[in-house]
Amino acid sequence: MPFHAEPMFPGDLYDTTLRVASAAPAGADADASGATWRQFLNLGWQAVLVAESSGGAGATLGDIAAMAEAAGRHALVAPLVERCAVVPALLSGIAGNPAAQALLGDIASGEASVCPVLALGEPAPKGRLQGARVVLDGCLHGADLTEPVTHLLALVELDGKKALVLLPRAALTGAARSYTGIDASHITDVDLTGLALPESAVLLHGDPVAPLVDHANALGALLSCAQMVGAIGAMIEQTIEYLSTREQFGVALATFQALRHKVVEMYVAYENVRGMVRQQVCVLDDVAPALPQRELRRELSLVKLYLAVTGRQVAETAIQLHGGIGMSRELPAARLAMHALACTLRWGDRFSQLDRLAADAVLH
Amino acid sequence: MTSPTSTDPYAAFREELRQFATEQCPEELKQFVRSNRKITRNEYRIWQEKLFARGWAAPNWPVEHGGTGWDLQQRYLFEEITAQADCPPQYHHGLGHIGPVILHFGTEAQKARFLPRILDGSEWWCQGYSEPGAGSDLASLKTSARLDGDHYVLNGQKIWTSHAQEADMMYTLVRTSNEGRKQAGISLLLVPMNTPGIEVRPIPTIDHWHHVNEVFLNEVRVPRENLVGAEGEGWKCAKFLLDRERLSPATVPRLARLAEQVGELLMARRRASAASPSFHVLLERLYLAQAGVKGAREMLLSAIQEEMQGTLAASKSSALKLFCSELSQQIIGIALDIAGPAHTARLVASSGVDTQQGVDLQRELVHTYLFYRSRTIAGGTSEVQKNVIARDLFGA
Repeated sequence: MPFHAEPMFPGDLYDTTLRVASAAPAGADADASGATWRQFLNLGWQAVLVAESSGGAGATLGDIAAMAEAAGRHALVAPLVERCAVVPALLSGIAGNPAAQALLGDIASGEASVCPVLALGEPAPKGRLQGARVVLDGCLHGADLTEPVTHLLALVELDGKKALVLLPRAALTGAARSYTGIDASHITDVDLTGLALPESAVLLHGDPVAPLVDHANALGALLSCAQMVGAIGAMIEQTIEYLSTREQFGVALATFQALRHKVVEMYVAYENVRGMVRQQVCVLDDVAPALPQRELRRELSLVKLYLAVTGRQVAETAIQLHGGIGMSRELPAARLAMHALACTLRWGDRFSQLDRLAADAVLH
Repeated sequence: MTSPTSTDPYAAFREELRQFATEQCPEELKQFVRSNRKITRNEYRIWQEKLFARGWAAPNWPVEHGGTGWDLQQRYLFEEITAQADCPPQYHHGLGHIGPVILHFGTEAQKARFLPRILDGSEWWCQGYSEPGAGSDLASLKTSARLDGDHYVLNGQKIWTSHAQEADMMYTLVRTSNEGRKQAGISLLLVPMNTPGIEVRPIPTIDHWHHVNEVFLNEVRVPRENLVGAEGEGWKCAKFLLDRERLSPATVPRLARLAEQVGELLMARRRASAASPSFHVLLERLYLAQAGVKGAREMLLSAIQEEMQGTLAASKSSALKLFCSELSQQIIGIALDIAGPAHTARLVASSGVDTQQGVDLQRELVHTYLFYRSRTIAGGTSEVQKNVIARDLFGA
């Protein structure tokens, strides 16, 4: 029996996500995937990681990783990681702020949907406190406004210190430019110059911001790895299917040893990253509090570094093995390749992980 | 959600192993292992005697034959903890290879004669499989064994016979018939190395270690009672051995330790000279290797679970072999780049003994680098592994 990828965390959440993701419009129709997101909201997926005390499901990292892997199998571009994991992690970390806690409740119920804009590899907008107001300046880079969004949670350089500022979607009236990314995801850069909000929009300011944002980024990085595991597994299945069906010179491509060996390399890489990501999720779920934070963070960066290199190799091989059709955006395997490639770059790319690891090695 | 880390039913066992590895392995032996010098019979023997005294001589054998009866998970822990403590590995030809074959196919007399000496480390084995014309295609072997009274008379040549120079016994595949399928005419014989007509010649290898040999067999008379299984069952015995030993719990822990050592070496280099761009190139390779070890460990642990449940696919054990052998080359490749021209140019001292530098870790790692080119060749080349895996993946 030909290869079939086994999920890292089988169960209801995996199955349901797989069903929803497989029905989501793809390719040229991906723009219309607002319907898919509303389905996510109706299913309560924004509540998965929110604590039960805030009206959420209080699920484990393994649960959200299961969803990420399933979504990855269909190259789903919906902001699952951003809005169901990263934002709840940020807001949960602002325990003393009633507005943040109230928002968390609204997220859990689906009334609010918040897009994080954490200036990863891009400059953060600036701001200053003026009386009871916060006045912003500069451009907000990389906001995902495609799906119904009520707020943006932005990292801002506020009076020279980092801050997390909550921007209502309706307040974004400055000049905007929108872009489509390599995996059909959409982002918008918005000019914030002159935007003034009540001081209460600043949810967190100063020293606690950096570690909290780092924690949320780490979560994003790990889930992007889970998405890649899903995408890689599906890519291998589809590549095998293609090679077994397509004939050249009168025989199936699957009979050529050079091609078979390339698929084997994809598969071996898959088994390796699947084990690595699964273990990392389990460690964070089970024994994280007992382990030194520095060591945990280091391990996570190692995993993302490795996935960034491996995900790209596998994506490139999948395109190559499909030949000309591998260049078509209509080909599911090509979309998976673009999704995996995008995941290698999100939440800390290869070189940002390397910089972090190298700084850590030199310091200790 | 179940997870591999939530409970540890082996906590006490781990502690017992850790204590033993700390207290019972002599410091000189650990230093020897840390130095990455080639381990010879002497080092293996010292450690085997310690293990024998503790009742841990054969982690992979059943209790009734002097083994520990450990499951694969316990064997993995034994390997992990002893590797971490720089204890030597166990010598595999007796314990891992011919021992289990004798246990399964051997006569009572063979068990009584050979097994105790494998356990206590007093008798040393080597494997006479490959021939000049039969490597990956082992069934093409030609060394002949003709029956003459109570003896088989062997003629032919074996090659790549590791440890033949220090072995007392050789288990060897020979051709007892040219009829039918080529696999059908093969038999397994146990040959005392001091039998007249055997000549062992070292093969000078690129690593400058004496590891492999040619073994010439000229009218070598082997008692008929040294035939394992029936005549013509040699291939079956060899397949049994391959199936049993397809998962080696030792590989990953040794790799992890090597990656650690190479990491320490890289940090020492940075302390000696400022962090240059080349440092960062090596650092990334090191991190990728460390992550690879992490993934390999998970692959092995899940393969162990599947093997214990009897569901392990051939493609997975082959994938593990393929991945680990290539990873070992990547790790030792970093060491080669750290060692650089100074050490590669001074691999062997002309006087035989380099009194000036004594044992130099970096130089030993250059030997190891060269030796490790064989990792993707021995025990099934990477290309053969890929063919095996592809058959599973494509279902044809």
